Amino acid sequence: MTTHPHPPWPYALLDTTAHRPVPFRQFVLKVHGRCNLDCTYCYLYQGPDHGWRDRPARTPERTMRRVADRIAEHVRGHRLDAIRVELHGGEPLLTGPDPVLAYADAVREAVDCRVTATVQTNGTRLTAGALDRLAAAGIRVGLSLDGGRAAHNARRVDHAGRPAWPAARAAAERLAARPRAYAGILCTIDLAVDPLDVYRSLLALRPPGVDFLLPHANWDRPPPGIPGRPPGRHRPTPTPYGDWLAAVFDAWWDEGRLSTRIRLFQEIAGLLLGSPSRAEAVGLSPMAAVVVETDGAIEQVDSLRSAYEGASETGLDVFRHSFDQALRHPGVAARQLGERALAEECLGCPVGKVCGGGNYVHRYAPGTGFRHPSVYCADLERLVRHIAHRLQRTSRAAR
Amino acid sequence: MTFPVDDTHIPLPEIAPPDQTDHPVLAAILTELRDRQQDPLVVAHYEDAP
Repeated sequence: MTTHPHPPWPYALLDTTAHRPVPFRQFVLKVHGRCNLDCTYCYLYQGPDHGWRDRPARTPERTMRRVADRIAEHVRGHRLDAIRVELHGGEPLLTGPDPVLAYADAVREAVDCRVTATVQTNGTRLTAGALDRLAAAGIRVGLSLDGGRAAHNARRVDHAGRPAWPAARAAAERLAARPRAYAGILCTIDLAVDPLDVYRSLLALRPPGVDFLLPHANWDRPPPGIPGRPPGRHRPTPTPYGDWLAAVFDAWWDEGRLSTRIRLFQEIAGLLLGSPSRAEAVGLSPMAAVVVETDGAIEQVDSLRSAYEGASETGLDVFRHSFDQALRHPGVAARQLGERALAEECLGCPVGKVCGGGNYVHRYAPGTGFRHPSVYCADLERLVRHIAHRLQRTSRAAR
Repeated sequence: MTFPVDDTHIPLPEIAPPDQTDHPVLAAILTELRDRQQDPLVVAHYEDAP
């Protein structure tokens, strides 16, 4: 299916024979390969990779069972005591909750360990009945929103251009009334909207956690607000995303109580305090996630599709290959190397061990690959230094 | 929008976790980090999941 050759790093240059892989602990399972929304910035459906067109719209039950057996094999082989299953899409609730429930059931029946199951949805199909059934099955629900008001979500529209917000807001209200089933909100940053307005409007939806995501971009396709340049550690340079996030950090830090968890901020603070990260956005922890497509293909994370067509492909599938074989794939191995996968500029950077080079996806440059600083390098440094400054002052006061 | 001065050579401060704090957000972070110490290996998760 790949129409674009993989770049030299890591595919030609990384020798994985000596690599000691870390088992997968997070399985991102595609329930549906289509979405009822047509968000203008979507990296999956508006990006360079159109591979989704060639796959089944929905995962057949036979594939679900095969995936479950492969996960069970992996859990047994590595004696895992807990895994996470993320029911994903497309829009996983496109045809209601039944396929999500069936997939989660198949995995839980097959494995002998604790399973935390979450469905990540745009909320437009999260009816009261659907939420009741998901909650009863112990499946948590995460929402994708760009803020807590209609104006923030103007880019989230269906294929006829109608706004997703009214239905998404109703879903958020239902979830706020069911806190045990509410996993949180993922919010992609839009520089055009005020960060404090976004933050406070999201708080009003009472999520237990929020994560702010940088729009997927790379040195070939820079994000809005950042000029196109060759890969490198450019200084001085404007840091619009770092500024946006620093404003939200201050509001969150100074609130006087913990209204909601914010993953990116907590992980950066944790790294500054000497702890490893649980997030791929920052830090050097080995990535433990793998994706299974609707046709059973074993893939790297979807966000790689924002780089080039076929970037997430491994050539493996659950019918012929184990997840252990996927651990030997250069793209997977490269994300478990920690510092050894970083660019020279990052190795010499005083912030490098905290930002960890940023999200691997954001390091891509055509012709060379993924061994570069992040296209958000300066923004990440701005945010990390800001959090370090605030954290140092607060920590001193606490002693 | 910030145009930072070139302070990019300056090391980050070394910050030890305080034993206790009245700061609610820092307290929550410290609790989470103490839980994390039980993990034999901390791994990174996909960001498109909450």
